Parts: sequence; structure tokens; C-alpha cells
Amino acid sequence: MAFAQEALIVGPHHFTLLPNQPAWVLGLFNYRNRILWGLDLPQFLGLEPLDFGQPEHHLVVMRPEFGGSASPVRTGLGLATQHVKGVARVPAEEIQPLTKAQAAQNNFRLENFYDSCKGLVLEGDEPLWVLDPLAIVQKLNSVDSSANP
Amino acid sequence: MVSFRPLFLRPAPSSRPQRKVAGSRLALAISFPLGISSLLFAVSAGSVARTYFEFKPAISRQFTLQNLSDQVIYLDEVLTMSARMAAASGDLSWEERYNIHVPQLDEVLAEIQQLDPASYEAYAAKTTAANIKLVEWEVQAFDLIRAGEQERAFNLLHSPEYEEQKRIYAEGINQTLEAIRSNIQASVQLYEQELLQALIFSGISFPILLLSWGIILILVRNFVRERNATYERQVSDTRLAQRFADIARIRQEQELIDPLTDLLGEMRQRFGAERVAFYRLTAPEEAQVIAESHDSRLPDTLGTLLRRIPAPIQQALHGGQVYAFGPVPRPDLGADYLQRLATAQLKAEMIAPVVRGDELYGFLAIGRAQSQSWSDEEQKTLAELANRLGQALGNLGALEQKAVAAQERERSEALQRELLQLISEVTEASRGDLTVRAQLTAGQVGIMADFFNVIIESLRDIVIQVQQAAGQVNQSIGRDEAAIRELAEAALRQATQIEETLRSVEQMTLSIEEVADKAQQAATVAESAAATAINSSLTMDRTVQNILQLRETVAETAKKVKRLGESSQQISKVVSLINQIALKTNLLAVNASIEAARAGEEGRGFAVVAEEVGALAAQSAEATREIERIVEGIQRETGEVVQAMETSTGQVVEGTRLVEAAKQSLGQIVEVSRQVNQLFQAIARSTDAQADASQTVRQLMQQIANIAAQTAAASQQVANSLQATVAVARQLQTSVSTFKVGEAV
Repeated sequence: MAFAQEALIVGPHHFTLLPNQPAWVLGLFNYRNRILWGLDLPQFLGLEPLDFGQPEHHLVVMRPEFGGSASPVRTGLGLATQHVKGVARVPAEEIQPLTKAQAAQNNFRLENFYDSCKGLVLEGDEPLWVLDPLAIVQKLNSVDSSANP
Repeated sequence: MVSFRPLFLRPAPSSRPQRKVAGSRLALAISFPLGISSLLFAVSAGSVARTYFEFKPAISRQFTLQNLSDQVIYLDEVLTMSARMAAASGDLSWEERYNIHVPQLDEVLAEIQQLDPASYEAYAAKTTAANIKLVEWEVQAFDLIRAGEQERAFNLLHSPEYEEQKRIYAEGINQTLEAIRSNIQASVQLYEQELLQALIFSGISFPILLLSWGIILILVRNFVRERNATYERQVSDTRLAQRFADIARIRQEQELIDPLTDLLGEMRQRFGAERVAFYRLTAPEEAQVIAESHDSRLPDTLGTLLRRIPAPIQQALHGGQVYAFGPVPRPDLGADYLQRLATAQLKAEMIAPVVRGDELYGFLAIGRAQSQSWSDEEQKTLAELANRLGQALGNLGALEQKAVAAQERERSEALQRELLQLISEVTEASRGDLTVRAQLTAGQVGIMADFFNVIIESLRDIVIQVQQAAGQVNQSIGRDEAAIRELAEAALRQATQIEETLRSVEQMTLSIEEVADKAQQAATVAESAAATAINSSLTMDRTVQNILQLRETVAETAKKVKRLGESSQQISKVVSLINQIALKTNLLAVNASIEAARAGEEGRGFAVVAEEVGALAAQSAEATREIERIVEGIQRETGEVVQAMETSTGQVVEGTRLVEAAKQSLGQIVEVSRQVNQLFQAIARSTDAQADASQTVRQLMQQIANIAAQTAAASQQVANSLQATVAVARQLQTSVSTFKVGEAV
């Protein structure tokens, strides 16, 4: 929650496409004079990719920090989703760790999902997945380094 | 008038010698001018030839002489000049020239002497002497020149003696020349004279020739004409002989006319006359035209009667003479005859008697339309022809006449006897006995008896036929009576039947009138049907109009419904806008709660508000979704309405079409009912006419009935008449039975 900044509505033409990136990277994105990485969250998680024919997407802007507080490296993330429902506040202790069985059960892109998912929260019967933006940034970085050695 | 004497001549006996004379005369006449012209030609040709042959050598000799004389003068001059030139120049070459010319001069002189000794001799002595002297001097001069004494020679040659001698010589030569010239002139004059004579002779002989050839021409023409005339005459004679032969063959007077007419035509041609007629004496002073030939322009006088033959003509006829007269009128002919001539358009006539045996049979009359006198020859020819005609007629009726008188008496006696016998034989016939027969004898009474028998026979046949016919009449009238009675009855029956027919016709008329009424009613019904159909048609029209209005209303409704659909679309647009606003509001709520979270514990309240705003946004989104559903429902339903409308419009169109068809059918019904009406009216009219016709038929039948009644009466009358006829036939039978006809018929 510490990294979430705001929710936006963005048209697909606002992204500047980049070569040699995974399919789930939509491209770079200029927002209030800061560069953000636009990611296709459902595709990242191994779900159906977003429909580019739609005029606009909801984007949740994250700004996770690396390297401790001494030398913070801020990487802007724009997680594109179909729809932002709302904000839920959950006490940290309610977050249950994710099991592999649970992950496999949901047909996600196992590698990404498992790496980036902290756990889940049950709201009624429905599970809510809690994602770790840092894990996502790391994933992005690992892709960057593998792509540009 | 010439004396008439019988001539029995062969056809144109004078023609042959006449032709001979003409031929010999012609030969003589032609040979005379021929001889004259040959003589003239020979003489003129001889004189010209003589002149030519005589003068040609003479003149050529004269010309030669003149030529020679000129040469002498020239040569003499050459000699003198040569000698003088030699003397003057002393050149001896001149002598050479001189010597050359001396023999030439001698030759020429010798020639002159030979050609014309006379003129030469006259001057020869003087000239020769002078010549010799001159030659001597000239030779001397040449000698002197050779000796060098040129001057002496010159003097010698120019001395007066030399000149004298030269003059003498020249004179002699000139005289000779003069003589020659005068000779030539005399010859030419002689020649001209001869030529003139020949010319004059020719001039005289030309007209003589012309004349003689003209004479020849005229003679030849006359000869040809004469020969033609002779030929024609011969042909005509042959034809006339033929006609006379034809007439001579005739025994009966009736057959005479045609050949006689032919003969008259021939005669008319021979005389060149306009009219030739033959008058037959019918009484001593009366004659009739029995045959005639005339020019086609003149009128016909055939068959006319000359009541009184004028005295001069009669006198001539009995005297056996030809009577000819040229210019009319002649008062002694009498006005009657002159009138007759005027009618026949004749101005001159010639009349000759025709005597058969010793009796005057008639006379020939030849007439011309121009006044002219008749030549003796013509009169003679006519007399001859009349004579021949009389002879040809001699055969006519010459057979009988003689023994007739002697036989006559005997025959009449025999006739009387036979007649008496015949009468006694046939008296019974007058009493009705038709069985009697006259005895047949030879002779004329026999023939008569035969005739009588034939008559009695045919009379008997007739009587028998009458008897038979009367019997048959009786029988057939008996039969006819029965038939007539039947006829009368049949007529009566016919009358009653006609009455019945009349009644039937009346009934028929009544029924026809009924038919006419019915047809009229039917026409009325058809008319009302037509009116009803027209009314229905109008109603249909109104229905159609209503349907059309309905159609318009439906179309308008459809339009409105469509507009409603469009409005709902606008609503959905608005709804989506609200939806977007709700979304953004939600996002704003999210952002707010994020900001609140970032604010920490102070932001908790704000976070709650933000959450509520988000919930509101979610609600409004939900509401808009609800609205969308509703609008969708509206749109779907309006679509269905529109479809239903379209379907109903199609049905309306179909309905309209059906109504149209119904209207057309109604129109046809109207047309048909109108036709039916017309037909019924026609029927009504026809039945009216029929009624009239049946009325007429009724009247006619009435008339027929009347006529039948009349017929019945008439047949009754006929029956009565037949009764009367029977009585008459019976009477006839009894009267015919008085004739006795031998065996029963």
C-alpha cells in the first residue's frame, strides 16, 4: 500500500512501444513528467491479455522503492487492468501465504504469479490475490537484464 | 344517126392490121430522122477532119519557113559583122568564125528553097547575085587583112558598093520573109473560114436533130398507147363474148337479169359511160328497165317504167337504127323523158334496139353525165353489141309456140270428157259419202282425180279424227267432271283448314306478344342488376379510399415509432455518459482513499468518505446498467412494432389490390348486365316485329281463305261448263256421224 499512488484512465496510444520486451510489457508511458512502465497485468499473470481495441484502460500507478532507504531507486509501474473496482484495506496478518496448489488451480502463468504474489485474502468465499510490486519490478528488471546483457 | 345494118364480126377484127401499120410506120418514121441525123453528123465530122488534116502540115511548114528566114537574117548579119570586125581589129580569128557560118547560111537557103520554091524563086536571082558579090568582097577583105592591108579591107567593107549590095540582099531576104508571112496569113484565114463553115453547119443541124428525135419520141408514145388500147379492147371483147355466151345459154327470162347486168357493166366500161340500162318492151309504147349498171354516185333507176317512148326514139327503134343525142334538152323528146334524164343525171344518151327474131324485144340505153356528141364509131359499136345481144336472146323461149295451137283443141275436148266422168264419179261425196273414189286416168284430169281422191281421203281422215276426238272429249269430260268435283271438295277442305291455320296464327301472335312482355320484364331486371352493380362499385371505391387512409395512418405511426427508437438511442448515449462519469468517480474515490491512506491515521475519515463516494459511483453504474437494459427492451419492442407495421402495410396493399379486382369484376358484371339488357330489348323488338309479321300472316291467311272460297266457286262453275261441253260434244258426235266413212272406226 505504501507504493500505490493513484488510478488513471489511459488510451492505448499513450504507450511508447519498446522492442525486445515480453508481450506483457505495453511500453513506456509519460505521466506528470515521470516515466512509467506500462504492464499488461492479466497477461503478466497468465490470464487473457487486455483488449487493445478498447479506447481506454484503467491503470494503477505504483512507485516501489529498492535498495533500502539509503539509496532509493524508484521505478514507476503502471499496471493496466480492465477495471479498478475499489480500494480494500486488509490487515497484514489476514494475508495467507499462497500455496503452489492454489496457484496451479487458478491457471495463472505460474512462474510470474507465484513469484509476484504475496498471498491471498478471503473476502466471503472469493479469494483476493495480494501482489507484491517489488517482485514485479524484479521480474521486469530480470527480463531487462536478460534482454540487454 | 348512122344507118344500122347487122354486123356479124369477130371481136375487133381491125386491131391486127392496124397494129401492123402502126409498127411499119413507126419503123419508117424512126429510120428517116435517124438517117438525117447520121448524115448531118457524118458531114460535119468529115469537114472538121478535112480542115484539121489539111491545115496542120501547111501551117507547120509556114512556121518552119519563117524560122528559117529569121536564121538567114541572123547568119547574114553574123557574116557581115565577122568580116567587119576582122577588118577593124585585124584579127584573123574572125575569119574562122566567118568560115564556120558560111555553110550554115547555105544550108538554110537550100532548105528555104526546098520548102517554098515559089516565094524563094521570086527573089532568088537578085539575092543570089548580091550574096555572091558580098561573099566575094568579104573573102577579098580577109585576103587584104592577111596581106596586112587592114585599112583597105576596112574601106572595102564600108564602101557604098558593099552597103548597096548588102541592102539589095537584105531587101530580097525581107521580101522572101514577107511572102512567107502573107502565105501563112492566107492559110490561117482559109482555116478560119473552114472552121466557121463547120460551126454554122453544126448550128443548123442541131435543131434538125432535135426535131427529128422529138418526132421519134412522139411516134413511140403513140405506138405504146395504141397498143395498150388494143390490148384492153381485146380483153373487153373476150369478156363481152363470154357475157353473150352466158346470155345465150339462158332459157327463162327470170334468169336473164344477172348476166344481163354483167353485160351492161362490161359495156359501161367499154364506152366509159356513167349509166347503161336495158329497157324491156312491155307494151308497144311502154318499156321497163329490167337491168342496169351505173356509176356508184348516180341514183338507181332499176324497175322504173317508161310509160311513153318518145316519138323520135320509137321511130329509130322500129327503123333498126341507133338514136344518139348529145346536148339536152331536145324539145322533141318530150318533157316526160327529159324529166327522166334529169332524174338519172344524164346529159347525153345513145339508144339501140335489141331485136329477137323479128320482134323488137327491148332497147339498150347508154348515158353520160356530160354533154357530148357520140362518134360514128361508138354508134356503130353499140349497134353491133345490140345486134349480138338480140342474137343471144334468140334462144329465149324459142322452143314452144308452134304445135301448141293444134293440140289445144283436141286436149280441151278430152278434158271435157274426162271432167264429165269425174263429176259423175264424185257426186256421192257431196252427200257425205266419203268412200267414193274417182277413177284415175292418164292426163291432167287424171291428176285432178288423183288430187280429188287425196282430198276426199284426207277429208275422211279428218272426219274420223273428229269422231274419235268427240268420243274422247265425252269420255274425258266424264272423267274431268269427277276430278272437278273432287277439286271443289278439296277447295272447301282447304278453306276450313285455312280457317284453322288462321286461329293457330292468332294464338301464335298472342304468345309472341307474351314473349315480348317477358323480354321487357327481363330487360328491366337486368337494368336493376346493372344499377346494383354500379352502386356496389361506388361502395368499393369508398372502401378502397378508407383502406388507403388506413395505410397512411399506419405509415405515420411507423414513423413515430421509429422516432421513439431514435430517442431511446439518445437515452442510451446519455446513460453511457453517466456510466463513464460513474467510472471516473469511482477512480477518483480510489485515488482519494489512496491519498487518505498516505495521510495515515488522519486520513481515515477521508478514506471512509472516499469509500462511500466509490460505493455511490458503483451504485450509479449499476443504475445506468439498469437503464441500459430498459432502453434495450424499448428498442427491441419498437423494432417489433415497426416490423408489425410493415407487415400490416403489405396486408393493406394486398387488400387494396383485392378490392381493385373486385371492382373490375363488378365493372364486368355491369357490362354484362348492360349487354343482357340490350339483348332483351332486341328480343322485345324482334318479338314486336314477329307479332306484326304474324298479324300480316293472319291477314294473308284471311285472303287465302277468301281465294279458296273463290276457287271453290270457280271449280263449281267449271263443273257446270264441263256439263255444257259434254252436251256440245254429243251434238258434234251426232253431226259427224252423218258422214259415211266406210268401216267403223
